[in-house]
Amino acid sequence: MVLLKRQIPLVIAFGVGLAMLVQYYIPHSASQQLLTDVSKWGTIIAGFALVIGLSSLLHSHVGKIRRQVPGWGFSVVVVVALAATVTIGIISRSSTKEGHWDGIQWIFDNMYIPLTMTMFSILAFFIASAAYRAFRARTVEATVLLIAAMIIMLEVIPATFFNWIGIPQITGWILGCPNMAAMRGIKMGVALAIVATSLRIIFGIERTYLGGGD
Amino acid sequence: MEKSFWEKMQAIDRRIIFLFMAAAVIIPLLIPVEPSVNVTDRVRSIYDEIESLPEGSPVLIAADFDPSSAPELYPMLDSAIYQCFRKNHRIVLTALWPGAKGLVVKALKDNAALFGKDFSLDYEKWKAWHETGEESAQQEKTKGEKPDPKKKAEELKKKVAQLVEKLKDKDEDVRLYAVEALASMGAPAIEPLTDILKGKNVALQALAIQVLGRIGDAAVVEPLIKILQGDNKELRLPAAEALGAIKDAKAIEPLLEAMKDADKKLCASAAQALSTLGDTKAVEPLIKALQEKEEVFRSAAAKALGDMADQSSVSALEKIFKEEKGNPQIWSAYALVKIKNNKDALDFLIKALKDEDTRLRRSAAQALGEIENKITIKPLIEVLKDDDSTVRSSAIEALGKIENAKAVEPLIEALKDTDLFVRSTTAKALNQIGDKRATKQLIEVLKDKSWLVRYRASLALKRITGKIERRDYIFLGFKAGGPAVILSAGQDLKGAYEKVDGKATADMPVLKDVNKLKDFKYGLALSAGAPGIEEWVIYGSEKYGFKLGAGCTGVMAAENFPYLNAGQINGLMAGLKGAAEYEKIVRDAVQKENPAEYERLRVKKGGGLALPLMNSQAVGHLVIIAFIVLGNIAYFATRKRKEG
Repeated sequence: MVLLKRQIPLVIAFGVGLAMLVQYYIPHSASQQLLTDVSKWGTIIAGFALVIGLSSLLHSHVGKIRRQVPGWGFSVVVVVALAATVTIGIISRSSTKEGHWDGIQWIFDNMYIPLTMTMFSILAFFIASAAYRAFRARTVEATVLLIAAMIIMLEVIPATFFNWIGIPQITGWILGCPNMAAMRGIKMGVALAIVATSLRIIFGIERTYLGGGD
Repeated sequence: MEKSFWEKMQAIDRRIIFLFMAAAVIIPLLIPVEPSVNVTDRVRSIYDEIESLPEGSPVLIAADFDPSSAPELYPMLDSAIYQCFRKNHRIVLTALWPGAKGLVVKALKDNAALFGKDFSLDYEKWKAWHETGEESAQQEKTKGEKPDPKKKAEELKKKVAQLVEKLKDKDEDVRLYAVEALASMGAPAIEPLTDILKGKNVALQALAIQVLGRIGDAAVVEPLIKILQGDNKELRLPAAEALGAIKDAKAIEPLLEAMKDADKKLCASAAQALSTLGDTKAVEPLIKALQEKEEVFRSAAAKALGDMADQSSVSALEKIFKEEKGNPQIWSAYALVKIKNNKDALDFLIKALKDEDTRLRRSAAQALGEIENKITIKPLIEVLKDDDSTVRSSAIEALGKIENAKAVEPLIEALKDTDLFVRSTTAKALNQIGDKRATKQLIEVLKDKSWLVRYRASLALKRITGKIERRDYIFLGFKAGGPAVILSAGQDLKGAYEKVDGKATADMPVLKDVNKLKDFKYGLALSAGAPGIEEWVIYGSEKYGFKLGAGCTGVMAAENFPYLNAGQINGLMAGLKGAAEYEKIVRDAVQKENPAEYERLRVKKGGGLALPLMNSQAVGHLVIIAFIVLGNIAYFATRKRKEG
């Protein structure tokens, strides 16, 4: 079991990781072909994540329904919606041609879009409420953040007065100088961390991706 | 202790805040006020980049978002598709987010409908009629090969040579097809046609002159003037006509000189050419020409004066209209309608459609075609039953010029005419009207034995069908994997997306010469998170070398500025404001260039998708700022009290 769950995955990670690292520096057609093949494999493997996600979703919600945990009715809605969407999708073959009823597109337009948008638009109300209660100039740093945020928000207001006092220019400076400097620092830090983590995975030091237990 | 006002304010019920926010969002939507949007350079550069690409360029649009961010990103997608359709670019869409699929399909459907897409005609049918020509055979042969500019130039040269050969064909139909096809090719055909002028085959030279006139390049004016001033009678006539079509001022003096020639047919052609040039120097000689003996010259002069709409010629024209018979009377009536909208003259022309003389019926139909008055549609439709095919042709040509939908049904019938010239003129007229009711019959006509009919029918279908899936655009669909998908497409696009709806991408004309990401002339990443802009920059544009622009949600703007500053993306549309800016640029351009198209756009999409929301966003931001200020005042006031 250790061989299957630990050693073989470690060998695969080491072999593929090292091969792709070396591949980057070899501009030969064979090396390019390797990248083509591996990236295709990548998309195929990523496709399986959807299957795993689907089975995990079903496993979780069917379990809740079976155990009748509090709120299990929502799980029924999830499972029924999933089954209905799949069934409608199979029955009405997806088509962009006029005259064909596209069930999936209908569900998307009339259910998925309004529901998702509603969920997201509620944020505007909570942001206003949270800003009122939590956005306080308690410290110098918080005051700087507060002023910067207010200036950025003022930029979208098409008022001559704000243009006159130079809000668009100040916004440009905030985004182009302090913001960009900070973002670059963060991005470089993240990139270095990715390099370090990748090397740890390739050399088998980082093993959390293998999951726990034996 | 009783709570102070500010303490009460600090503990304000959140429902009151919600109420204010709801009012801030809804009231601006109910009171439509044109928002003022300042267009920034970072958005304009995206628009300019798409505008600057040559027609037919492949453009990649990555839609990596879902409905939750659609208010900000969907208008960007919609405007980008619209701009690319307007520029006749080939659009290839991808999605790394599953929720994007429905949005992309909707944006494509909406915009394709604006461009007259006929959903009943798919690519398979288009391919079927396209295969009637030689072009698709060439495409099949070169399918999958790497684009080679030299090879392309050679192929073009070969095609021009083939068409030039067809100019020598015994069959007039083939010759006429070659004339039209060469004229549509433009610049690449000029050199071989100019070479023909150095030869001795007069019939071929006349056709070459005709094509050069239709191409309308100023470079051939000098050689044509030489021919006009030369001895060859058979070539001087087409040379005069071609010079009129090119509309170059250098030709005015030689054409005025040609009007004094003994050959009155040449004088007539020169008169007509001068009218298209619109130079006032021609008016006096043309009025004089009304006194000439030859009917053909007098008719041409009257028509030319009508085309120039010169008031000083009215009395001379009225004299001919009242005193003469035949073609001079027809064309003076035409001129009087053009110059002073003379009702009697118009009635006379309509009446002349039933004249016993075939020649006059034909001329009347031609004149009415130039007048383009809707009153004449009914009488012209009646002429479609005329016994003489040339009269029927002239009436059809006139109906094509008037471009009225009422003529479509009778014209569809005329596609069955026994005369090939009537059928080809009908196909041309249906192209001008552009009504999709003719689609089915035009597809049938693609099997016609005549080259000219087939060619004109294919042009008409191309216009009527508008944007066709797999020819003009394709949505490659959602693919899981983020960076792996981008890398895969960068290495081998058609391998990464082998099939779409069961159809092989290798056979799609929209992906012609597009085998890898670097083959795209421009890419636009519209993203609401990861995978999105960052992945497209790192694994796409930077690795494979193609120009990229981006659009993101407002909250993501800050993290994407480093890419903009480093030139890794040429422009950035941030949030609803970015979407509104882009929408404004596109709409302003349409309004300026084509008011009719703008009206169609306004009817279909109202004030836009992003622009009308700008006021709500602005008021919403003001309310949030007001609450932040109020909350801080309350905080400081209560803190002082507590400290006190």
